Amino acid sequence: MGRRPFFSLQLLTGILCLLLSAGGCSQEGVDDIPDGDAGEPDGGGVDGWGDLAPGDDLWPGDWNADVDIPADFSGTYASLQISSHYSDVPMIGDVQYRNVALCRISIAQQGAQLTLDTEICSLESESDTDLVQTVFPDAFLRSLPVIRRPAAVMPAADGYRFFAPRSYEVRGVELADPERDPLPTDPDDPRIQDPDGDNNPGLTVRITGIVDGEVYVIQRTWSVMDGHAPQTGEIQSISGLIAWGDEQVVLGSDNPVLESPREGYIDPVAENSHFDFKRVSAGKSCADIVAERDGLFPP
Amino acid sequence: MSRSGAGWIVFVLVVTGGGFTAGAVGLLETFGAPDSRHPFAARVLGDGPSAAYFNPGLLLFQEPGLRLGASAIWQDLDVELQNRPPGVDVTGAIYRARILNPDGSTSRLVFRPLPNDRLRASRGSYGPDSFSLVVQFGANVSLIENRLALGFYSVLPTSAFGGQTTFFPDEREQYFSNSLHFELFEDRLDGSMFCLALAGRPLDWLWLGAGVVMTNVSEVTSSIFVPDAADQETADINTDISINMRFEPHFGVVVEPLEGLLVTGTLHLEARNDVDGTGDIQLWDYPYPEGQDSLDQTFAFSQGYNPLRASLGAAYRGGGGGGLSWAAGASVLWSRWSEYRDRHQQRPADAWSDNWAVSLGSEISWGSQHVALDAIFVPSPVPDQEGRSNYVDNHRLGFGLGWQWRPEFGAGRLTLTAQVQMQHLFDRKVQKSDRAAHPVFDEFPESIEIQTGEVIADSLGFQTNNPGYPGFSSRGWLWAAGLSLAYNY
Repeated sequence: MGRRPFFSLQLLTGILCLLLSAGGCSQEGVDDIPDGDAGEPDGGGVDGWGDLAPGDDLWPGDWNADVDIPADFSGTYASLQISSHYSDVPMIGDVQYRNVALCRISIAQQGAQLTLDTEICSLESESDTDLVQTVFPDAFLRSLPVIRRPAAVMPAADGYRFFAPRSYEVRGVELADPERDPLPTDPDDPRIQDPDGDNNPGLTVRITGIVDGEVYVIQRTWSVMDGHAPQTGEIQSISGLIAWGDEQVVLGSDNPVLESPREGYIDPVAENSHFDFKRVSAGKSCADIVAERDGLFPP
Repeated sequence: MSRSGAGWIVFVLVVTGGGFTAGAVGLLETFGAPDSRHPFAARVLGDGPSAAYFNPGLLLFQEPGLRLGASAIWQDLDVELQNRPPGVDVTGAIYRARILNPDGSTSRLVFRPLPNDRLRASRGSYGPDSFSLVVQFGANVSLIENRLALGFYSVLPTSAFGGQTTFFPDEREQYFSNSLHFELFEDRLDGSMFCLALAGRPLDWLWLGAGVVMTNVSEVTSSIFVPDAADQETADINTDISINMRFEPHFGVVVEPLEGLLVTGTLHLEARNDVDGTGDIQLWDYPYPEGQDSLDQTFAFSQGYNPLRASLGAAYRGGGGGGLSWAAGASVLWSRWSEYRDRHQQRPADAWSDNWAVSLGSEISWGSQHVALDAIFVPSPVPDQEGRSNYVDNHRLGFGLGWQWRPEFGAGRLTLTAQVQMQHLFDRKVQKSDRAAHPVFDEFPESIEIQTGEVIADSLGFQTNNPGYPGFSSRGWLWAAGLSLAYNY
C-alpha cells in the first residue's frame, strides 16, 4: 500500500490534473508557464474564483481585471486536452503515454475574469506500446463531477491570452488541506472514499494487456493552462499548453505486479501537453461531442 | 562365447547410450514381441531375445545366438469430433472482460481461453496416423549350459533415437494442437529400449529370470533473460541438462509341473522416463516478488509411462507323429492403469481402471518350420470421457500370424522369422455431460466489459474451446509386419 503502480500514475493523474484542478500535489511536472509563486489554493469557490483577486500572485504579473475585453468568451466549448508523460513499465522501460481527454466546457465571463465548468466526456490513454493499455471505466468517468475553475484573459498582440492558474484537485479522498495534507496510504483510512461505487477504496483504474488487473488509487494533481485566442468578437477557439504535476497512492490491486513501486515523469517537452477549445452550440451534449470528435479535432 | 558375449553385450549398452529412453516399452506392450513368431503370447510362448523383456524366465528355453530384425508399424487412427453447437465460441470480447461475481463484484479471469479466431490450430487439425520403422537387436548367451543365461534386447527406431510429444487432455490443448490424441499410442510407440536379463534354472522344473529396462530421469534448467518484453523473439538462454540412468526391474518365472506344461508368471514394475525442468526467467526491469530475482516456470513431463504389470499364463507343448508338434498357450496380463500419469505427470481427474488383457497363442511345427497364430484382447482402462478430459482410448482386439524357418547353417542354425499382425480399435463414442464429476466448464463466464461495466453478451450462456466438446468418436487399426534373422549356435 502507498506505493506507486508501475505505469498508470501520471497517466491517470495527468488527465485529472488537466480537468479537475482544485486541490494539492507534490510530484512536480513541467512548469515553464508563468503562474507566479504558489499562492492560496482556490478551494473550489462558487464561481471558481474563491478568494482570488486581481493582483494575486497566482496570476501573471501583467494581468489586470479592469482591462476592457471586447470579446465574448462565454459559451460552450468542446475541448481536447492532451497530457504527455513517461512511465517506467516493467520489462519494457520508458513508455510515453498520451492521455487524451475530451471535455465539454462552459465558460462564463465577467470582463477579464472567466469561470470554466468542465465536464469530462471521455478519457483515453495512448502509448507507444500495445503490450499494456490503461482503461478508465465508465464508472470512473461518472464519478467525476463537473469541475469549476477560474481563468483570466487579457489582450495580446493578435488576440487574447488565456490563463488558468495553478489549481489542485484530490480524488478518492477527502483532505482538510487538499494541497498540503499527505495522501493517506492505509486503505482503511476513514478519509478515503469510493467515488466510483465499486466497493474498492479510491478510484479504480483497469489495466489490460500482458499484465491485467485493477488498481485502486487516490490522487492529487495540479495544472496550469496558458493559451491564446486569436480572434476578437465571439471567440471560436482557444489553444495553448498545459503544465501539470501529480501525486498518487496505490491502495491496492487485484494483481500484485501492479502494486510495485515504479518511477515516472512528465514529458519534458512542454509542447507535448496541450489543449484546444472549439466553440460549439450550447445544446451540444457530451455524447454529441464524443460523436463529433473527429470533425471537431481532426486526427 | 559366453564370457566374450557378455562383455560384448555390456559394450553395446554403453556405446548405444543405454541410459536414454525406454519409449519402446510402449511399443512392445502394444505390438508384442516383434522378433518372435508369437507377438502376443510372448510371455508364455516367446522365442528369441525379446524374452529378456517379456519373460526372462524363458531365456533358458532359447538357443544362444544373435538376432537382428526390423518391423514396420502403421498407426491408422481416427478421431471424429462432433460439430459444436452455436453460441459456444469464445469471442475477442474476452480480452476486455472481468468476471461478474454473484455479489456484483468483479474479478480477473481465472482461466484464459483464446478467442476462437485466435487459436493457432483449427479444431481437430492434427492427424494421428503414422508410419515408422524400428530395428531390434538381441542376444542370448549361455553362461552355464541349461542353468544360467544372459539376454539382451534392444529396440531402436530408424528416426529419432528418443522423443516425446506432449499434449494436454483437456481445454488447455486449445493453445496447441487443438485436437484430441490417442493417449496410449502416437509418440508412446516411438523411442528406443534397452533391456538386460538373467535367467537361472535352480531346479529341473523351475526357471527364474530377472531383468532391467533402462529408463532415465532428466533435469533441465534453462536460464533465460529477456531484455525487452516488447521483443519476445529475442532472449539470451543458458541450459543445464542432466540425464540420469534408472533401471526398472521385471521378473519372470516358469514352472513345469507336468511334462510339456509350462506355467508362467511375470511382474514388470512401473516404468517411465521423467523430464523435470525449470525455466528460470529474468525480465529486464521487472518487479520480482520479495526475495526473488527471477521467475521460475516449472514443468514436469513423463514419457512412455507403463504401469505395474503382472501376468499369469500357461502353455502346453505336445508332440505328434511324423515330426509334427504343436503348442498352445494363454495368459492374462493385469495392468495397474489406475495409477496412470499422463505426459504432464498428472493423474487423470477421472481415475482410470486397472485392466486385464487376454492373450492366446498357438503353433504347429514340422521339421524346421513353425507357423503360429496369436490373438489378444485389451480392454481400455480409460473411462468414458464425459467430463473435461479427452483421453482417447479404445478396446482393442488383435491377431498375429507368425512363420519361422530354422535351417541348419554351418555349426549352428539360422532362424528366419516373419510376422504380421493387425489390431482393431473398436469404435467408441463419447458425449460430454454436465453431470460428469469434472465437467467441461464455462471458459467465458458472465463478464463485464472493463470500460463500460456492461455485461458482455458474448459471455452469456456456455462457452468453451475444449476440443472434445460436445463429444467425439474414435476408432482405428494398428498394423505391423516384421522380419528377423538369427544365428543360433
